[in-house]
Amino acid sequence: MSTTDKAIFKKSLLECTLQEIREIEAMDYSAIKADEAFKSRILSVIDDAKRENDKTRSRRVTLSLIAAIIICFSIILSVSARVRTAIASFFVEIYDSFAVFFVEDRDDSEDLTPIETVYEPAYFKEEGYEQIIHDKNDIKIFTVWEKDEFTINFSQYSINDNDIISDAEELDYEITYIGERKVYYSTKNDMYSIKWLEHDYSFHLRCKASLEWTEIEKIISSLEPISE
Amino acid sequence: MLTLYLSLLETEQDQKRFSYIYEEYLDWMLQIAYHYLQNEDDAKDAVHEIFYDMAKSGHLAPLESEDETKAYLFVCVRNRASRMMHRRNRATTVSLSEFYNLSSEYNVEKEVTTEDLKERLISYIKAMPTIYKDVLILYFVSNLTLKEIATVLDVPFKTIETRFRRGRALIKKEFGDLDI
Repeated sequence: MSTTDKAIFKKSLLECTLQEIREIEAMDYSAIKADEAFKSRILSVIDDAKRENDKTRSRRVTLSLIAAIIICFSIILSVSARVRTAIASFFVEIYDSFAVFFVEDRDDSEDLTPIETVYEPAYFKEEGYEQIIHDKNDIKIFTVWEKDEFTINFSQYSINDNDIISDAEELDYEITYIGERKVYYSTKNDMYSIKWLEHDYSFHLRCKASLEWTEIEKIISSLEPISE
Repeated sequence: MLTLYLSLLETEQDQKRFSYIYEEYLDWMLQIAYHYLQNEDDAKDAVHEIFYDMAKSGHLAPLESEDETKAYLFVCVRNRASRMMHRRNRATTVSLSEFYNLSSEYNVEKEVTTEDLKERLISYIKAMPTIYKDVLILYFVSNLTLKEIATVLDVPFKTIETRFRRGRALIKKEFGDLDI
């Protein structure tokens, strides 16, 4: 569609309409005005329309909410871990402004997919951190790394099918980005607690708040799969 | 009474626009409706229906300019008046064959400047049946979608689609080079 032709056509349409309007305006219809009786008639009809609108609107909102809840639960129960991660992220997104979510530590493996790929920040080994604890089961891997006065807990979890995220009642999490990764962090008792979702798993990093944030960024950014 | 209309509208901006239209154009719309219906009560019915539908559906006149607002409201009034006249068997219609005859005097081979083209278009559009013209105005001037036009004119969507297609086809038949 040519922009010039369309503009010419639009101007022609408008000018034609205005010409027709001016022809009518040239006639004397000044006696025709909205009187009080006419305005009163409008009052009662508007009342009816408002009542009808309110009923329709609240019915529509209720049905939409119910449909959304049903659809989301159906998806959660029926799809792969990758999709569950996406859904987890979605819930996290929409509740950003008024609630804080983190992946709950679970030992109940009955409803969790076992960890298939183990991830670890390459930065630990590159920078001379020593692994002093390594504990794993099907759904959780817990490691502790130490260098100088810093001890860092690093965990990987499977994502729960039914209860991906829950409220953090005891900690107030804030949100930031490390690269394109959205992370939730809090500082309580002089400790960083950092959580995020990635590669179909959830990760948790815990360390002293005196560790430089740039160091933490490097640790998290160096996450890579390892063979065990 | 204005506050009751306003309570139907969702946003403050909508309410401000509605107030403006109501205060500035109510009498004007009554006069346009009267011109077509030649009956004051019928004119009030028509305008009343328009304001009520506007408030209920949330489709308000675009306020890009006074000209575009007037064009939009004029089409709404003319359409409503036309439908009332049809209902009361007082309508006259322009048949397509009359319309095609009317258009045959134009020489499409003639080279024209933009101003010449505009003048020709204006004359041609004036002669078009209003059912096609109104849809084209709301689409190209008021920038409404066909679905929105169906709501504003209270006409089934398929009917609006057909009118739009036919209206555009008439323009293309007469002004073959015009790419709309």
